[in-house]
Amino acid sequence: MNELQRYHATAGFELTDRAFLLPPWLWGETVQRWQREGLPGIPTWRAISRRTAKPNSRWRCKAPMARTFGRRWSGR
Amino acid sequence: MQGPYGPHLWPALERQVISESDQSWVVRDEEGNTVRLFKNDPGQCMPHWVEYPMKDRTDWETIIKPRLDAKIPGRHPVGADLDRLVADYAKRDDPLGLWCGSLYGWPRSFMGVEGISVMFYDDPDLVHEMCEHMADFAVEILTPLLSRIEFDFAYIWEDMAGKAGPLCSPATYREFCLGPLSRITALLHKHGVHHIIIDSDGNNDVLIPLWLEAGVTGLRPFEVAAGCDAVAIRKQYGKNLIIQGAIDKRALAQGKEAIEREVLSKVPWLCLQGGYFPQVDHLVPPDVSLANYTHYSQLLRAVVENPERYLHEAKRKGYFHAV
Repeated sequence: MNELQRYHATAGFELTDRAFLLPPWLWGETVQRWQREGLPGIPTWRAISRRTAKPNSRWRCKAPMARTFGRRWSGR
Repeated sequence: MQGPYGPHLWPALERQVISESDQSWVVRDEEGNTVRLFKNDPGQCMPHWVEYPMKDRTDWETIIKPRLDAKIPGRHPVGADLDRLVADYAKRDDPLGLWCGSLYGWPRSFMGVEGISVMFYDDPDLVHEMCEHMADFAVEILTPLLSRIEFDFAYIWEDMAGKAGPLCSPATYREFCLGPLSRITALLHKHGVHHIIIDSDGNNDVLIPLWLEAGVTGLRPFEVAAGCDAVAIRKQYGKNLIIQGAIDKRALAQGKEAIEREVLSKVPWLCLQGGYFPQVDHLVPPDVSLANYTHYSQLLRAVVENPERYLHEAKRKGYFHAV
């Protein structure tokens, strides 16, 4: 089952291997704190901040897998 | 995709710094808001609003409405740009969503809560006109995209509630927003987009029946601090409502025991019901340490992979009571 199938199965109340996990949703200050605490490889805070997450600044929301923290970031 | 595409004010207004002090700048931003940005807030995530761009019909007709025009070039991809997107998205194996605008949230952003609240009574014809225009605009801008790209879900942004409930009554929302909203959802359903999620912070419980009536199928983010109870909502609405969020952000700052209690009290049961996307109920705040979030993330992953086991665990520990 890939992420696309998992998304539709979750949204459709169907059997799935697990619920689809939405990406982390973080304040910029949170990312800055975690970087100070040793988090590597995070995109700029702006890419995952409230500003780029709101519809006024973006029409498309791509919601990829977020299996475990830090493995893949959505840029939402 | 970012830049000019999408349902937002376009072309943007020119950003101007109006004044500066040791602590802050006063800026007129790209959407016409006059805001005070604090220099000690590096992300400038929470500006202080000084003035909204719209006060009356003249502002609507000269500032806002001309920038909600689907015919302005650059508003959406065309020609080779659209062909390239279509080809790119056709190969994806992850879900693709579409922001579809707003019916209450935008007028609130243009006028402020007080402004829109007064306008409902002082100039209801103008509010009707705005909502109908925003639906027309959304339909016009989304139709060519929906005709070429298979989207998996859609978001509609309202952000229209606080802890005590919505910022307008259900009757007011029905009168002004529900019809235009229904036209957008009808377009989405017609093009096979059946997962239509309202994004609205705060406690929106009394609006859920209206949204379902209008063709919406889900809601996020169910803020626990606002009294939202996703388990109760699932019991009430069954499989008629997709739920996203509902995990109390405040618990993540408290430590492992609080995180375990919060996650196990709802996630296993909700996952077993289906239609649930676990997520923190708003942006994760900066009082959450990386260690706590890592623990939360690992626990969440384990729970969604084996909700039966963790529901048993939740009952054993008294975190979840049998339905």
